[in-house]
Amino acid sequence: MLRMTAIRIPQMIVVILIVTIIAFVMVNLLPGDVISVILGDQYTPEAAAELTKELALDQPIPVRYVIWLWHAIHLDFGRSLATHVSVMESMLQDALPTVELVIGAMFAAVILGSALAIGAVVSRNPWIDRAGTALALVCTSLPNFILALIVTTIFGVQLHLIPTIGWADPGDAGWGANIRAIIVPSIILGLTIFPSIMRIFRAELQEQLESEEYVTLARMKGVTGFGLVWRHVARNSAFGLITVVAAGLGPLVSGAVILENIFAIPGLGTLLFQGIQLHDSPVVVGCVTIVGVIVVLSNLGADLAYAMLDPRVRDALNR
Amino acid sequence: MPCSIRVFVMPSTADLSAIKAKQAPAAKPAPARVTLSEADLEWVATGARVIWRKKLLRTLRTLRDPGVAMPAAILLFIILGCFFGPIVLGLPDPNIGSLRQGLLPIGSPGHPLGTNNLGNDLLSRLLYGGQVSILVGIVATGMGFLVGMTLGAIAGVFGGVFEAAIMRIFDALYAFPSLIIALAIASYLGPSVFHTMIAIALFTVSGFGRLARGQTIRVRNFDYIVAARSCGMSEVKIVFVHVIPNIIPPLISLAVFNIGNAMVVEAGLSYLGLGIRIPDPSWGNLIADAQPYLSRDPMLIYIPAAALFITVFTITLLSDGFRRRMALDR
Repeated sequence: MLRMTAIRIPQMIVVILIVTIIAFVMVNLLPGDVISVILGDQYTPEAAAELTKELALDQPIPVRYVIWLWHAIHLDFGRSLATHVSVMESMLQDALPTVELVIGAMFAAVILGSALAIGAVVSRNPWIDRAGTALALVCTSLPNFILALIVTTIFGVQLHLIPTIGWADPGDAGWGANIRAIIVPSIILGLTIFPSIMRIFRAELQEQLESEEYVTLARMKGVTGFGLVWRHVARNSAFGLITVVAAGLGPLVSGAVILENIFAIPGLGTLLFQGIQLHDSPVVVGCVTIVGVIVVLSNLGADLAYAMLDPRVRDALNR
Repeated sequence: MPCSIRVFVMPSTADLSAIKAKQAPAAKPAPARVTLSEADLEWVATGARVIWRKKLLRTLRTLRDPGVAMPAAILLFIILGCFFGPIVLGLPDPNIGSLRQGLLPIGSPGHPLGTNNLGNDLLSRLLYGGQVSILVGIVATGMGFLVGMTLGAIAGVFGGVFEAAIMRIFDALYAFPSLIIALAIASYLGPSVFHTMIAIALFTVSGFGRLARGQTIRVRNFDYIVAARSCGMSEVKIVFVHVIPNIIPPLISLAVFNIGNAMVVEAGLSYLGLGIRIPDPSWGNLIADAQPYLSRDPMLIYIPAAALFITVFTITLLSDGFRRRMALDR
């Protein structure tokens, strides 16, 4: 266990460094004249030269990267080129909607995925299995922005069942309005990763039911059907879900960028998207770094948690 | 060029037993030395090629499975329709139309699917947009496939520092949410078909690379590769001649799935205005353009959305079919 941690943490630090290097170099090497974007109408050669000096754009990229990294380690990602607000501050300000959206999506995906998986395994009715597989196929093939457009058109515009777009700040409008605003985008986002959760959970359940001795023992005691799956097998299979859910984080954040755009939710995705459109390098690099770090950390956390919680893996590692 | 080697592994078990039979009566304790002629080397090389050809044939034979053949046929129909439909049907140019003929409904004379707000023929835009979407999907996946497979195979064969470095880069690419990196690249390079392809290709690399490395490690110690190595074939040549052809079949199912995924990402990018830009049509920007007319003419959104959905759905079915077939064959 300790050895695994000792190997994985330096590896993780290297990966995070590569993430920041790619982000930084990509954003700073690619063409796009930052100076003329910032100055706009007030562009004069003198002003441009002054600004270049101020932003340290005359330094070579490795030097700028080291300076940036030094500040980033102290959680200072610089100031936005467009609004001059501290990047860290605006990221913290915009984090709540994205965090709610992603967590809500994870809940939706896990609940739907495990319900269909357990249903298919317990009932042995091939139609439940087929319905789940078909739904998963449709969800894999339907881009979430199309789903969002269709759902808002039908349920929001035509039937007035749900609030169409917008975001209710819990401070101003209360948590009730906040949750009502976030629930539909969360479910739509969750549908994008639900297929992998369902497929893996189902395979795991099936394997345990067929090969594990404790299942035979439970059957001998007279525990069958739903009780067997729910009380014994599902709990043992749930470990596998940790890894899948952590792996789903990346796609969820990608999806959040598009969905925040459609539903006009002022989250990290919107911040990043606006930063990209304005070629606002500090904002883009800051957001990409934070997202990359969170994804890497959660993958590591999932692996460690998996190893710690599952006695079989834990014992194999300790041996 | 004949070459002399110390025999610790032979090209095949048959040869090994032949040599053992020869050695047995003499019972020489010294390590045997054999001289391999040009023909022997040729045999080693063709041996691997035969395996590769067999695998390729087996991959093609999967087309007999209806689970593979049905989606493949539908997909072929969609692709042919998009690329040859406009010529066969004699459709008008996708960018020519008069504003007075804007937002015509489905079934209007001369415009079977109606027109958009600028009076452009929707069917024509749909088919030309399909060309772009399908091309982006295939080319982006192809680029990611080639780069990822080469890097993964190199990591698997060489091991050590190469492997560690390549795997960490894959990890880093994997940690980037795909759409975000594509957005950034597309935005900074400027929107164009080729830049969209590069942006999408970049993050498909790590998926192919990881699978290729795993497969390479599996293949690495197969007899014909050890034999090639013992004949003095360089490692680089081994990667390209022996390893890569033999890890392709398992990668194909992933590649097919990835084409669909790339089309979805392309649609997302174009929808956000950072992928394919109008006047060039693509299924993503057809949807984005139609959004202001959502309540007046929802068909403008539903039709390209349905085209994208059906195509990606068929591709997903095809890759599922491939995977199931390969699992059955094993």
